Amino acid sequence: MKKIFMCLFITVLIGTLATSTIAAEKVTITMWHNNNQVYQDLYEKVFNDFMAANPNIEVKIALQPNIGYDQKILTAFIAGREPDIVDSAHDFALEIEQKYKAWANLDDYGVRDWEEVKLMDPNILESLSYDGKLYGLQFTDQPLALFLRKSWMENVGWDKGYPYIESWDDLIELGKKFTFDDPDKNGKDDTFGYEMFGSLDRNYATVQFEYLMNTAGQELVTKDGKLNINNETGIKALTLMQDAIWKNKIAPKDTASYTHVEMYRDIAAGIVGIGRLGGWNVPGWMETLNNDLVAVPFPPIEKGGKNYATTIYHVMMVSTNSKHPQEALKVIQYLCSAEVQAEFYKNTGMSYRPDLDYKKLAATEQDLFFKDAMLPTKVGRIYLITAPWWTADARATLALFIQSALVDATLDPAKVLADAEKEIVAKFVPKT
Amino acid sequence: MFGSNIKKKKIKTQSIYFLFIVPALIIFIIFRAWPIIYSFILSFFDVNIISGNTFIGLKNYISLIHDQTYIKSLLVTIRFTSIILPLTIIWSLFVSIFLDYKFLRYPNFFKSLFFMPFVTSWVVISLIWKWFLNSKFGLVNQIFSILHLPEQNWLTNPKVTLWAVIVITIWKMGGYFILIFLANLQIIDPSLYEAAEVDGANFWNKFRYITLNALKPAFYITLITGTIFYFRTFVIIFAMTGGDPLGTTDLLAYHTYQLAFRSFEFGQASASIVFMFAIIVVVLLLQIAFFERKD
Repeated sequence: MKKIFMCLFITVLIGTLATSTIAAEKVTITMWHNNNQVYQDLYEKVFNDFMAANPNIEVKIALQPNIGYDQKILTAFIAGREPDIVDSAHDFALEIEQKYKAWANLDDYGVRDWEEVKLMDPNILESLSYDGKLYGLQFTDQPLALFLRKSWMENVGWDKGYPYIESWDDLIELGKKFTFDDPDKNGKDDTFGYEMFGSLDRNYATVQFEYLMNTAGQELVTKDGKLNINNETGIKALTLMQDAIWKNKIAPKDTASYTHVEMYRDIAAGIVGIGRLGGWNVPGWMETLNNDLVAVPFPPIEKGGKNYATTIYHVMMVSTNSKHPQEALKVIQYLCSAEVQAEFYKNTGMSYRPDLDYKKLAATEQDLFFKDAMLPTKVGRIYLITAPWWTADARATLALFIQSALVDATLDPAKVLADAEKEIVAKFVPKT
Repeated sequence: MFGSNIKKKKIKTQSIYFLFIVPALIIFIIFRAWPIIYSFILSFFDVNIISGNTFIGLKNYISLIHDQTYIKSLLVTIRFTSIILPLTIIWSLFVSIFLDYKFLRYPNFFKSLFFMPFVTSWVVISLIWKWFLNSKFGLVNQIFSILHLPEQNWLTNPKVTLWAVIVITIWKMGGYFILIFLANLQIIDPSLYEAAEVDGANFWNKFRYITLNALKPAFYITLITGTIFYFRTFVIIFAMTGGDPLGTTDLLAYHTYQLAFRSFEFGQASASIVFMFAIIVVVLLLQIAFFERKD
């Protein structure tokens, strides 16, 4: 009897130990993103496949509200409850890295040897390196474009062929027609030719100025770390913004108070003729505007000049505090695989891989535009260049100057940029 | 022996009372008291969300004093509070006198009308007003246009936007102040007015010597609560102006939020909170001293 009990005891003990060993081996990777429900459903779908193939890894994906996403990540870090993987826009990822070195150094894990990483644009990889450390990996790749309302062009008699606008003068001319010629034929003065954002909130004024500078082929900070705003292109870009509101009256007078929320609101209301378009906007806006939009690259300053496109991309970072960085990177590697990227492109129009057959995968002509007309070398690409001193506070200082020109038509853009340069250099740029 | 029993019973009763407040006390300590204390502690540290905090003494406070944008925000807040507080009190006083008028028809309708904004969410009100103030489609400019008044860029004119915030805030908060004044007006003994009339007092004398005198407690409470509230104004700025244009509506509470979550300076943001707390306490002490001297 005693022996039987002993055998039973040993069996139970072995069973318990075995179970606990298996349980201990299974790790949970948490991941946050701020995209939308379409992405959430996709993530859940691909992670189910991933977990079936990797039973020792459980992935918990959480969609966080876009508004307050940055704050939520920060407070999670403070509470020591941050996710293992964060999917965010590259500018926020960089700001956190600049301030806190919050992300794991991916070079320590040899990620540059991955086939998935070798396919990434080296310029983008460079822009995801800070202080000699690779802190994130690209997940999507979206050059920014402009959208034009197709029916409005017909209604105002704009008969130029693709790309419809060939210079900044064309942009203004079409913007005027979209503002003053009743392009929606409803008999009301209720449209705007061109919409931008210029709020100080999240430095939108700087973002808008940077976008124009980029599409004119310039970065706000040069590769050797110099501020690059007070030049002919900068003055032209700020003049375009100021004149759009006050002289040409093609942009709302409230532009200086606009974040993306107001701009998106007006676009959804169908009262904007020309505006910035990212690939992630395409599915939603196509639906809202009944397919009445066409994507074109931002035109060169002068007719016949060179086109450029600036790029926004979401990146994946591993928290420097993650207890399971290897497993987290395995998850990221899976997300970068051809199979998953194709799945995302089919449903969202977003993917970074150059080796996919986009013509087969694209759901709409506009989705394809970002891969077919812009991603190849038809337009020059501008990347986020940064310097250690080019922080959120430096960008905020520039935003204040940019906004001053947007609220006061009498300010000279050249003087505004000269003053901005003087102040930013004095306050932020290290003396050599 | 008898006294000891009474004492024991009293202690027992008090213990039961205390038990009833324990849940509320726990919530208060966790969500109110501890954050205040923790903010005070953090204000002396360089906060790093990854590597931990480093004690830096008064450096956060010194940085704030030398930060021009912070000083500008402080001045905007002082200007905002010193304009809005008297305006709210005057507006609420006159509305409450109107509501207390004994021949007023449908008093409950008017009371609801003035009180409704106060019970409506700040975020909802801010977003609705943002649309009302839109320079092209907004209701306000359309009314201005009908009245042949010059249309304004309410949200982007640096000379105008703070005033728009002030008017909306008075409209929103007025309900609370009106309630206090009205409650106070309704307990004034009517015989005082009758006696004054017998003595030949005119409307102004009755208002000056009876109504205003009787309203002293209401002035006291509105001044104190108004100072606390207005100095901490946040939501309308967060939801409606974002500190725009050119920082003219960048009130201190919003600036502090920006310090924490945009500049990631949690230590400085904590110092700013302590600084705000100190300013409010000093102003309140001055107000209390003023009222006590008057009494």
